[in-house]
Amino acid sequence: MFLENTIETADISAKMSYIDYKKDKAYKVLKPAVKDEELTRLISLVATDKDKSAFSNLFKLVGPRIKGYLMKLGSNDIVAEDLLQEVMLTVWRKSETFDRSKAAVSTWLFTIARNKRIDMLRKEIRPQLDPMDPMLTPNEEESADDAYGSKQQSLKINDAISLLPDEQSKLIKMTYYEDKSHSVIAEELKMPLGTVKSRIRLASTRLKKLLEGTIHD
Amino acid sequence: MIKHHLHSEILLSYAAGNSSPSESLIVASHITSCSKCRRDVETFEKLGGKLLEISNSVEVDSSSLDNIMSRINNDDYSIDSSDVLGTSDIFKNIPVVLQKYLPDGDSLTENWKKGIGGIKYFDIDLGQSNKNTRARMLSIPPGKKLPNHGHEAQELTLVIHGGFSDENGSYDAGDVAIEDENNSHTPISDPKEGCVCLVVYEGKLKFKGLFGPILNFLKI
Ligand SMILES: [Zn+2]
Repeated sequence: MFLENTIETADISAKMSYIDYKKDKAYKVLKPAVKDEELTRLISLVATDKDKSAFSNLFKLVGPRIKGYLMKLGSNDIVAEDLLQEVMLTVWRKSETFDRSKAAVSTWLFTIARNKRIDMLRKEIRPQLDPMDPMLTPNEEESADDAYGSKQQSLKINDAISLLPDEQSKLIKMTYYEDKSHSVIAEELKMPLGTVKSRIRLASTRLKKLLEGTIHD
Repeated sequence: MIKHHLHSEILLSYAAGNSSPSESLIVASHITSCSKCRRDVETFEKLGGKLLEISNSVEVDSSSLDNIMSRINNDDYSIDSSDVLGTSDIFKNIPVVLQKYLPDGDSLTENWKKGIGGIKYFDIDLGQSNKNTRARMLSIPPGKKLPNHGHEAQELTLVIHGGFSDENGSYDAGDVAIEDENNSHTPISDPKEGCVCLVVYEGKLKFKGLFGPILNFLKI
């Protein structure tokens, strides 16, 4: 597992996540994909009817995990609560932009949480792809069973992470969990910037291939 | 057909949310027309979603639900569709994400600064906290040859219109040239159309890359 590989740091939070991850896996085995379908149903109720009780249920279901994720990324309790409010307000406002054929609920929530963190904590402009841009080229052909929403695909992502060598999963972790730019990672690991870039290139290319199912080792 | 793509670690940083404002701008602009790199970004966002999914649950404050419910009860937000599309014809073929930062005018480059040899440029203000990253639009007249040169740090060049070629091949609209400390070359702009491009520089304060000698000559 991703977290198993990095656990040698004796980092308590990593251990906790690992335990949580195992619980999560058990949960998925018991209740395959129910959770995602329920979340999708609630989001579409919010999108079509501005259904407030559906929104309230959605908040109860996803709030604690979003907060946990934000705290894992280094926010304290107060900041994480504030960010969670902003994330959920965006969920309320943009529920109709959620397209279940394109992305899993967790992916959609991740992008919202990511953007809110940048807005609030970095106070920087971060230009982003405009999904309405008339210049957008059509997506490449994707077969129906290639979409990541299903249970099988969820498990595949976990498997893929577990197949990365220790150093590569560490670099990926620093990118996502510690919100570190390549130059910060280079400083911390006392490596030349070029080396960090090429190693993350290797790690991310490998991960991508694993996620796309083109490597089965 | 796009031939030259962004590196995987750049797309990963963009998806994870920690690339600089200028690097985000060039990634967002490239993936508007490049479905291959856009798909990679989507894959890395799926990974982000998975990491969120396997995070610990942390109990939310008891007042949190009441707060959000009262906010949505009083929310009068509506999606403004008028700011979705580019308004001006001069921005045709420029990604919307990039249009926002460019000055209006009778022509694309009318309000850009004038450099030597017919070159025009416009510095994009992204309010960066880190002044070591910069984003600049460049318009280079047809058939302009630049002196052979090397680079000190990463410089990314996205062709918006026209193109250029060098020892590594030819770069057309949508293509990205990635220059770093390991290469040197002699670029020449398209003999018919010239080249309009977005250049993003990370690292030192000087432009050293593809069009670096000209940028520095301009004393910018
Ligand atoms: Zn590409």
